[in-house]
Amino acid sequence: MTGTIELDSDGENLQIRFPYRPDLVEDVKSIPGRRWDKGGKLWRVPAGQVENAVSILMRHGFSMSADVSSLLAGTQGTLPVDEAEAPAGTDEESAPETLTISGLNEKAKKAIQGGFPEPVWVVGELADYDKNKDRQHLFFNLLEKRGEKIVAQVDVAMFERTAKMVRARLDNLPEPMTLADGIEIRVRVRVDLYPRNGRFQLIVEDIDPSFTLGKLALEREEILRELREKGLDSKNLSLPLPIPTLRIGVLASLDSDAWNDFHEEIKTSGIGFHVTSYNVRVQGDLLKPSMLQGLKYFKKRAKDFDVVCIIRGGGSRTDLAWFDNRDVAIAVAEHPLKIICGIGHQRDQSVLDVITHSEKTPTAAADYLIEQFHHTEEVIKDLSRCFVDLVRRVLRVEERRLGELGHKLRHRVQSALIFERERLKNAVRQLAHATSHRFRGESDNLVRRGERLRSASARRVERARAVLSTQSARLRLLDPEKVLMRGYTLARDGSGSILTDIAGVAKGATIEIQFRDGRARTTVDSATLNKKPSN
Amino acid sequence: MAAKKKTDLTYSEGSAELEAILDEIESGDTDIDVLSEKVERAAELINLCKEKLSGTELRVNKVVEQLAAGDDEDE
Repeated sequence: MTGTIELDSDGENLQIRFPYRPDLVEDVKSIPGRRWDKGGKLWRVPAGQVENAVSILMRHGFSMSADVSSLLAGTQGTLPVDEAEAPAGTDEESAPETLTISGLNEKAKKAIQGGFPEPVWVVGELADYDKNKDRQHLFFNLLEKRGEKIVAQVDVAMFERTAKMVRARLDNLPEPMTLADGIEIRVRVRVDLYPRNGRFQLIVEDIDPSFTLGKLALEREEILRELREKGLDSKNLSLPLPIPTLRIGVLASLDSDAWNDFHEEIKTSGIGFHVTSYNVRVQGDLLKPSMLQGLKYFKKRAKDFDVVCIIRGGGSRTDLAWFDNRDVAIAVAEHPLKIICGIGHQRDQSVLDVITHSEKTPTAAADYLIEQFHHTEEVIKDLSRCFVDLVRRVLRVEERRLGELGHKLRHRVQSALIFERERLKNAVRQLAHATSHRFRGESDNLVRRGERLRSASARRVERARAVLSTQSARLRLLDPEKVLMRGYTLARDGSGSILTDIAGVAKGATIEIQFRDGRARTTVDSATLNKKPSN
Repeated sequence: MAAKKKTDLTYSEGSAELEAILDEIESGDTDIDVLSEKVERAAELINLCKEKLSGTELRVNKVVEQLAAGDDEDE
C-alpha cells in the first residue's frame, strides 16, 4: 500500500497521506485545489476532485476509506450541475421520456461505461499530437488508415499525470521512444464521453511501447528483407572508400548541433577536406522528399565527390524511425558514392545504419574520415617504402645477374678466343706448309720445264745439225766436179746453162761438153726423145 | 700470238704459254729459224714465273710470320 485517501470529518476535503515520493508529489500537485498541510503532514484536496484524485492515486496502489468510496460513487452517478434535474428524469415515470442534453449525455456516458466496463487496448496512428505536445493535458487523435486514406478516427485525451508517466517510461526504455504524429501506438484506454460537450473520447491510461517498437522493427526488417532480395543490402557498403577521401558531401539539418559537431571536427582536423553541405529534414514527413532530393543532388555530381555523409544527432527510436524509409533506403543503397552514416544512437540501428558504413555519432563519422585519411597516409608511406625496397631488391638481383652474365661472357669469350687462336695457328701452319709445298712443286715444275726446254731445244738443234750434216754430205756427193771426176760429162747450152732434158736441145745447136779435164764445142746432129719417160 | 709484256702476264698464263712452247719444241716440228726465239721466250717465261713464285712466297712467308707473331703477342 502506497498511501491512503480519507474524507475529512466535515466532508469538505480529502486527506491524502503517503511516505514521501517525488513522483507521487508531482501527481498530487496535478489535482486542482490541492494544498499541503504542514502540521498534519498531509495533502488536502477539495472533495469535488474525488474522481480525479482517486483515478490518479489508485493506480499507485493507494487505498481509500469507505466514505471516499461512497463519495466517489455519488460523483460518478451525477454531476454537480445536473443534481437538481437529474432525479426528474428517472425511469419510474411512465410518460415518454424527454431528456435534457446533460441527461442524455449522462445516459450515453453510462451506456458507454456499461459497454466498456474495463479499459481496452486500442491501436492507432497518432495525429494532431505534435502541435499539442507541450500542453499539460494532451489531446490528439488516433487514426486508422487503409493505405493513405483515413477510414476511422477517435478523439483521445491523455491527462498530465498519465502523460508524465508515459514520457518517463518511454524515456527509460533501452531504445528511447518519443511520441509523434505518424507513429502507430498501442494504448490502454478508458472509453468515455464528456457530458459537457457530448464528445466521445478515449482516456489514455497506459501505453505499450513494445508494440510501436516491434512494429518499427518489423517495418525495418521488411525494408531490409526487400533490399536483401534485390541484392541491395550490401551494395553501398561494399563500395570502397576512395583513396584519398577528401571531397565530402553532407546531408544534414544545417541548423543542428549534429552538423556543427561534424563540421567542427572536420575543420579542426587540419586536413584539406572539401565539404559541401546539403540541408535536409532529418525527421517527419519531409525527411523522405528532402533526403531523396539531397541524394539526387550528390548523385548528379558523383564525379565531384568521394563520399556522402548522412548526419543526424541522437534521437529516440521513433525519431530515427523516419530514416527507415523504403525509398530513401533504396536511393542510398543504389547511390554511386559511398555513404557514411553518422546518426546518433545508442543501440538500435536504422535501415541506413545496416546498409551503409555507420558510425555512432556525427563526430564519430568525422573522426572516421580523419582516421581514414591518416590511415591512407600511412598506407601510402608503407607502400612507397615497400616500393623502394622492392626496386632495390630487383636492382640487386639484376646487378648480380648481370655480374654473373658478364663473368660467363668473359669466360666464354676467353675460351672461344683460345680456341680460335689455336685454329688460326693451325691454319697459319697449314697455310705455310701448303704454300711452301706448292712453291716447291711449282719451282720444281719450273726447273723441270727449264730442263725440258734445254733438252728439247738441244735435241731440236742436234736434229737440225744432223740433217745439216747429211745434207752437206749429200751436197758433197752431188758436187759436179766429183761427178766429172767419176767419168760423167756435163752439157751446157750456148748460154752456159746445164742441160738436163732433151727438150732444150735442138738439131744444129751448139753445145758445150765439159769433161774432167777439158771442154769440147759440138754441133748437134740429131736429138731424139726416149720412148719411155725417164725417171 | 703477240707476246704479252711480263707485267701483264699472270702466273697461270705464263705457265700455259710455257707449256705450249715446250710441247711445240718437244714435237720437233719447230722451225730452226724461230727456235732460238721460242727458247728465249720460254726462258723469259720461266724467269717470269720464278720471279712471281719467289715474290709470292716472300709475301706469303711475311704474312704467315706476322700471323704467328700476332698470336705470340696475344698470348
